[in-house]
Amino acid sequence: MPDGSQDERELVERAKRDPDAFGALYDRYFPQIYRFAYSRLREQSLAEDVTQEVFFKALRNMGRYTYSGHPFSSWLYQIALNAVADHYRGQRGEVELEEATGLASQAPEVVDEVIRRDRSHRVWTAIDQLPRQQRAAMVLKFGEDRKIDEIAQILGKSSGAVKLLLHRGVERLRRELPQLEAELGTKS
Amino acid sequence: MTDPELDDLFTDAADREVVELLSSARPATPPLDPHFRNYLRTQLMAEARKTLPRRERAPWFSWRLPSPPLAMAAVAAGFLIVLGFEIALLQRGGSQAPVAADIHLVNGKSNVATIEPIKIPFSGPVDKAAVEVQIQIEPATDYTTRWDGNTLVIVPRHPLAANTNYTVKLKPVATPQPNQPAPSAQPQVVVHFVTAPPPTPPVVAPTYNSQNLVWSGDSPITEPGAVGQASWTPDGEILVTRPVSTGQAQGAQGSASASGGQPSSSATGTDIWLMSPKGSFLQKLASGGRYPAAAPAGGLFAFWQMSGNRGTLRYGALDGSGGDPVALATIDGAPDRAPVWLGKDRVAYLDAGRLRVVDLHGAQVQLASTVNVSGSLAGSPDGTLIAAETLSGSSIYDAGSGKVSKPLPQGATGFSWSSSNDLAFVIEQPGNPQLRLLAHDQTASTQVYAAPVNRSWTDLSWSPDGHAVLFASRPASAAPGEFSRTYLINADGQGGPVLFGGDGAEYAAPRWSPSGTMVLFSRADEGSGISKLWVANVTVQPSALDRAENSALAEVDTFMQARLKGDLTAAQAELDANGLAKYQSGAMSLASPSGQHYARRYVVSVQLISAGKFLVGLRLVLADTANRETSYVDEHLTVIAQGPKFVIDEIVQAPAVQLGKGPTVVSVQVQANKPGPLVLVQFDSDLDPSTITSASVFVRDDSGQVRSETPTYDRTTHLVTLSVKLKPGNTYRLVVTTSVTDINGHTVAQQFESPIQPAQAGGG
Repeated sequence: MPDGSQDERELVERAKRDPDAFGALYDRYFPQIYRFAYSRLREQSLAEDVTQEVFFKALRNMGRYTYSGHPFSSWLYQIALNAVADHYRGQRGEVELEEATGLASQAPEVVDEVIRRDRSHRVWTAIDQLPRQQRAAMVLKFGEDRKIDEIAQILGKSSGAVKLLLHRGVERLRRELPQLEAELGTKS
Repeated sequence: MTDPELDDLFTDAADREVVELLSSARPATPPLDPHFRNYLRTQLMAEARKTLPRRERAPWFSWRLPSPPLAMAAVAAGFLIVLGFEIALLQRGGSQAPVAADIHLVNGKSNVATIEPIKIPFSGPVDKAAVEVQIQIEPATDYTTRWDGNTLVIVPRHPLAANTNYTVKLKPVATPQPNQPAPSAQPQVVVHFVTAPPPTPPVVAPTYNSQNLVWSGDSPITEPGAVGQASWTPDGEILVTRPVSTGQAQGAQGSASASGGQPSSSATGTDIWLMSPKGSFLQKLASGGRYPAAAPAGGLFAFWQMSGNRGTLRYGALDGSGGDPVALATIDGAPDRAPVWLGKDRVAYLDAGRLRVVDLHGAQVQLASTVNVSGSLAGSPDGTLIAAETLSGSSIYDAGSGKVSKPLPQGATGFSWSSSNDLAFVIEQPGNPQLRLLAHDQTASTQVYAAPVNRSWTDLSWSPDGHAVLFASRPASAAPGEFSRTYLINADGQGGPVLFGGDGAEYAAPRWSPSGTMVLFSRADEGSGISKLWVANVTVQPSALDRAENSALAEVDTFMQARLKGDLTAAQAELDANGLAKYQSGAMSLASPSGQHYARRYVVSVQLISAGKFLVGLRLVLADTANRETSYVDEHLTVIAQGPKFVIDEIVQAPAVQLGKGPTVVSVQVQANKPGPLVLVQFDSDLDPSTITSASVFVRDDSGQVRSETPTYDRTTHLVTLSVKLKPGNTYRLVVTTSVTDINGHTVAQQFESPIQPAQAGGG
């Protein structure tokens, strides 16, 4: 296994019966799941809700989890992704911006944040505005350092599709970032 | 790049540049409540012990007490803080049974919404009256309480102040048990939280038109059928009807309508509630009420209540104070619409179709003629005019006399008044609806837009500044797959209508919030088909001056981040020559006082002094080594443009003020107004209005002469407003003396002063 190998596999098996082992898994993965949830939701209370849902779902379904060659965290990310999607279900704010018509579709947070925050924050705010699947792929790759195969498993897509998502995400940022920098007038 | 996958994937130089940037720009560490991680672990472990196959039963709280000695120590102390719970242990039936106040929902949070109830669940039955009587909130806050089962819900009567550290104290008291000694006094539970910062007010008031407006997503705020009619209050809360009992309400009377004008309930089975923009039910205002309408001036609402086959028009206070709602009039039969406010002290309603007006003493206003209303009815915000659709045509009537003031074109309906008394309306013509506008001078109506579409236009809603109108467009006849869309159009018609939100989803009955930042609408649930309420978020593109203001604030942010980190070298780099000279001369300090650190900061005021020069009032909250917020220091930073960026030119520091010693000013805003500007001073506490006088809150000039009128106080927003006479380029001072007192009798700890510098000509 990429991040935990045999130890993790044994820990996961024990966690199916042993609360303390499940606790150890929680300790190991809480930070990244919470970080991932927050990166998608940008609100502390919502990130807490999603993180809670992820680990409770994992606990309830531990018996059904089978090792498939991917890290245990992939499964947790998958649950988190679904929980976030549930949260956003039906929200037009989550629709792909290129689909939106009428009112200006550039989310205002981009401009405001660009002006207020540092460059790193600007980049991640711009990622926030990407279409849902692109954003998930970008966050997992650049924020969580996941392998493309793993991202594919989490998103339920082929590796090729994930590469395409990453490509499109980078292309879009490439188009938008200079504009944002120009608006700020302080390209660094 | 160090990731081979990325190396393989991105070979184009421009792409690689972006990838490098992404790889080096990690997302910031998210804010995390230190209790949450442990709290969740505790919950999970309890669940794991119950559900995993090889579970071992344990006493309810054994997992909370890691070792017997610790448990004994906790019992001896009578007070225990474990993993986000504060647990009071009390004797019951000879054994220790804990009653826990679960404070993790709010304790330690740093971004709490100002219009949300404070919820504190208890793990078991408590003596509710005894708990309620022990509640203390600082800063002084008037509140009501209710109970959802064992959850205590504290509802501030008015929105909380932004940027403020609140402390809530209470004591869990278990329900007395038969044949058991009365529970002994319990230790106090203390909850701390900090409210969210408000958006920084732009130096130039925003213009809400279709070129400036940005839609940034929407979200549902209620379950299907959870509420009926809904409308905004002037304070940004939502007035709703809520089905009384479960089951009966899900069908006929459960559908949500943001209009508040169309009936959706068929019986008396609704109560009237105040709801937050996030969908939290705040407070029940009236039992068995329907068709609520908030007064445009705020503070009051009117509604109908049925008794048998008679309807009674009542009014009451939006904050629940003042006792039971007062009856104003009765009619035979059921009303079909909400009462219509005329200014702050009269209400219009229909009695068997006949227009009647009553004042808040219940006295009927005698109208010169009989007006039988057959359709739309709306009162102007200043209360002087009524637009009414009658069988003989539509007209504007004088609200005092009932005489026709201005006939309207044939077929005029769907009336909506702007904040400046402009009237928008629709002329219904099959297949060719028209949107028209009658300006406040009532000369002649003009066509804003017309289109040959087989749709009807309804639910006109003005932007708060009166520059644009939202309206719903729905198919003239029901057709499968068709639903309401919402459009935005400028009042002058320029640019034509713009689709609001998106074309793929329903946006029905739009209602623009008083702040302009939200639009309330209803949408049918995909599963049940029953409507629920949604809120869409909108903002305005910043003007050039706003961008400059934002850049100046970004510079302040950079400067403060360096100071908060203790990196004084980096902080000095943000000073210009003047600032640096003053710093080096010892005239100002960048470091926090010894033994204290800057816990947080927020902007109190922003003023444009001249082109490229801002005066930023900043509050630095100081905490001790135990991270307890103890005092604050106000600074005024002069920020000037220097080439492409802003720099700090000067800092003026005020003496430290102790926290928790009476009300404090949290925001000062100078607002353009005719005939003279207004100074808006917001406090963190509910104040004693009798202490707000021209001697306690005023603006004076350099010679000490008072330049402000008698202040007014809005207790809903803790806001004191001063009309002032100021000359551009001169310097004035806002003064708040120590005679200002909160509702608990605490005075302002230390006289507050803040510079007021109106912009010189050309500054804007």
